[in-house]
Amino acid sequence: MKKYSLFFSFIFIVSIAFAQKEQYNNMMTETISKINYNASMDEIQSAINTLERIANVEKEEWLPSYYSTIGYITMASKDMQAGGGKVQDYVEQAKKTLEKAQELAGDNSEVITAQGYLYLAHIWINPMANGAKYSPMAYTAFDQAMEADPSNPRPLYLKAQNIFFTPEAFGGGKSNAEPLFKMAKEKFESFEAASEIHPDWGKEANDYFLSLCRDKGDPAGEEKEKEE
Amino acid sequence: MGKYLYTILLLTLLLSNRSLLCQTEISGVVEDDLGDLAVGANVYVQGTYDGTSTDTDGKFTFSTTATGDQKIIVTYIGFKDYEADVRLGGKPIALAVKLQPTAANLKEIIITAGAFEASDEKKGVVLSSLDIVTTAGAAADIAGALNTLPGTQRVGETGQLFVRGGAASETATFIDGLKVQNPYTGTVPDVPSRGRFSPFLFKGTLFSTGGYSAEYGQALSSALILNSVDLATETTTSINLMSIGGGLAHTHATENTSLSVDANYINLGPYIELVPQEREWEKPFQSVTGQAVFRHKTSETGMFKLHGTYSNSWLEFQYADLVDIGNTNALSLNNENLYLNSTFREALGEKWSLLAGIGFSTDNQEVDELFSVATTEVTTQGKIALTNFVSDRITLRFGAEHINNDFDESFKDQQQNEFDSRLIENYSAGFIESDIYFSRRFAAKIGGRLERSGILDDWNAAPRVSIAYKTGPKSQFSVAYGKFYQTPVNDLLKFNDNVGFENSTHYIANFQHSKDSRIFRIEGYYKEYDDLIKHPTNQQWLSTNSGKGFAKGIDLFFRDRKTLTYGDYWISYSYLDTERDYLDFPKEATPHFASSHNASFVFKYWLKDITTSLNASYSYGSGRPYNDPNLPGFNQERTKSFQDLSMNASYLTNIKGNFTVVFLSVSNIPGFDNTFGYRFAPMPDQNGQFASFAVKPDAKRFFFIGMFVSIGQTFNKDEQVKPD
Repeated sequence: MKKYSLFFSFIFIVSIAFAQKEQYNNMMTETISKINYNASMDEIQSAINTLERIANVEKEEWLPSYYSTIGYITMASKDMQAGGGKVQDYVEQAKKTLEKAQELAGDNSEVITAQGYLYLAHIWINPMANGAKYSPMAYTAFDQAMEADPSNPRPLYLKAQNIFFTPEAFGGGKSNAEPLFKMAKEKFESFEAASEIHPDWGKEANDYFLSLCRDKGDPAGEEKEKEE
Repeated sequence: MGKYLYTILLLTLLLSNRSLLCQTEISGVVEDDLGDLAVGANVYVQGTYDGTSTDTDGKFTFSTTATGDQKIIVTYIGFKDYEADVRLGGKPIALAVKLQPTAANLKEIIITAGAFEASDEKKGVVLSSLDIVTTAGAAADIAGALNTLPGTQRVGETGQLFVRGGAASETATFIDGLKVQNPYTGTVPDVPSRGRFSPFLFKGTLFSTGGYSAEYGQALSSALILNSVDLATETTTSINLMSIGGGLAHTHATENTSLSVDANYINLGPYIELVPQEREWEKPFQSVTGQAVFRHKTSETGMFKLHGTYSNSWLEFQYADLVDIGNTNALSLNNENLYLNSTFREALGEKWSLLAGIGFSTDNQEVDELFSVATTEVTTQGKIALTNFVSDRITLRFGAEHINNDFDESFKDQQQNEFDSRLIENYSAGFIESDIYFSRRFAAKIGGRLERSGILDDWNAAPRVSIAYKTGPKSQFSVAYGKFYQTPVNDLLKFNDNVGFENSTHYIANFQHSKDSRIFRIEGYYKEYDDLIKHPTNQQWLSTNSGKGFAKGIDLFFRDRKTLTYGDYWISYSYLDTERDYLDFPKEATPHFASSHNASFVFKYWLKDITTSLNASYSYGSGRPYNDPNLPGFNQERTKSFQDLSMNASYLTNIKGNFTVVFLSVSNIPGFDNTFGYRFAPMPDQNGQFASFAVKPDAKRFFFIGMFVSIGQTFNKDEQVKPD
């Protein structure tokens, strides 16, 4: 019986831990699906709030803070499109959450990618003033992210996207972006996320941009930015 | 095995349904400090997943399985975290949460009365640093660009800033808090000067057309406050080739230190050969300039800056003889200027920050005609300012400065009689000022300045107050009051320094509304001048402080960055009514530099397909007064109105992988025939008439072409978004 009770208490502890892990996984899966460009600002904010609550409990996990960063950058991008004038606020929030993710995860490929993405978001605050400063910083980050994990398609996709919106005269435009989107597409196809809740976004948006590149009609920049 | 499974199942069930045993419902509403509902605030029980976001009514409801003593946390962007201690035990809890703004959020209300700000770092400013560079007609000159803002009067023959009925000497320039003694290049009458400092040196520009901070003094009308750029981040070399000269620049940047050096040579000779000018030039304008900018980041919060500029310029042309109208005499100018400015900024703990600075400048100028004037002006100064962040709501700033100015002039008349004058001024000042944020709606800046002038043996106390009230999330109303003192200019003091400070009092009311990248400003002001220097004609040694005057007007500004996807524009209009009785005026009259109506339309457009920025500006200034001694009265005549339509284009490209800008500009495209004023002979001719000549621009138009290449830098721009 003693043996059994020991066994039961072991099961008990494991099941608590397991239940909590499952709760974490479930909450994360549900929440991260709400962070995308087509969600409303309120929906994204609400998802970020949930992530903040998760982050406060799961103090060792970097993913909640990572997704908060992506969420705030998405909000910054949406706000820029809508001319809401709050891009800087969201960028500042993204910076805070990214710092937390960096503390927990160190510099893994996804976190470096998020850093590069955040540099791009700095440009949106004031393109003429910030472009020259942050564009090279973003590219450096994307290159580092690719070095850290060559299988990660996201740095390549974000770099391609920025090239897509850069004028042809400066090495940008559709024709220069297309090979990168193609490479990213291959990587997306073979990419396997470490778990259900590890970063696995960008594939659809990459396909969308690739389709725009193949459609040789209009010059780059006409299309509305679409991101996941 | 089945038994175990059953037990595990039961346990898990029990675990996951713990909630059924004791659940507490928590609900409430979240408001901010102004009583507005907080939508999307995060409400949760600390250390649990249990929580929710507030809805569009600021309301929330959620259940928690946590029990006992717990903390409810509410977080919301721009506000401090709210914490409430609760005891959870199944009984529903209702909370009414009132959030308090963070310090940064409190400080979003900007005390705007009287000031235009250009910055890349701050939010809600009217201009960006680049606007100053790109404004058409400004020729990348700071004063030129600011002349498209309301409150300024175009005085084309000087190229300087004239603000709200004030003379050019009533606007003071400050770099990193230190006053610049000679902000403009050396000049002679009727030849416009330029600012000595390139707009690329500054990350922020605050142009105050009145009511400015107690930190600054010695300007009756306006303060131009320039903040220099910080650490350079990239090592680059650049070359510029212009139709009027060329230059080289190199920047070396390491992690915490950067050094930039540049050298420029300007020669208007070839241009003047090509484009006919009104004047007969003996030696067209030439200048050599060398500059060094050193930056060192001494710590996470500390920054040491050193900036030095040396320039030498000279020119010679045939200037109309004022006595023998119709005749000309060779007039030459040689100006040599050295400017050094060094500052150190550091945070002293959490609550304090320090700014210490020293400045040195020497200006040697020699003007020769039938007479000759040699002037040497040496200025040495020091300043220290401390900022105390007393609390989220109160910031206190105070400091002191000392300026030593040694002015030496030697004048030789036609008969070689020499007159020497030397003025040594020791000026000291102290200031204290506090920014008080009563709420996010209501803020005030209250301060005062104490000044002492050695040469005048006089002192003054100048109070300054500004109050801002937010009338809505996008609009605010501000008022400002201030007293401003200035030591009379050396050109007057050299005849008689037995006088006191001149002074002015500003009353300003401002309303500003901004929405969706559109901004509208209206500002009304009344400025009273007193103790101005007055003297009988040609008897400056009889100067007294008996002059006075006033200036009143309305300034309008509208900027729209929204309507055009790739462009933006601004419109400014100023109405000015001013009269003064000073210098040798026989009665109160409008001075020659003041015009009643000034308007500007500035347009910027980014042609993305050809990566070219196209800028145009139109300026209008109504006629300026001049005195025709052949007619009764004083300053009774008006010139024709002034008009200008200028354009420039910058083509951005890469040449062999090096970022290149090709710049082209033309002023006064339609060729408006502008007259700035008339000069009259001091004596009547045989017929009893005073002969005169018109003061006009040297040429109707000015063409400029230049190419700037940054070696090793590649142009790379996010085209999807329009330029600012």
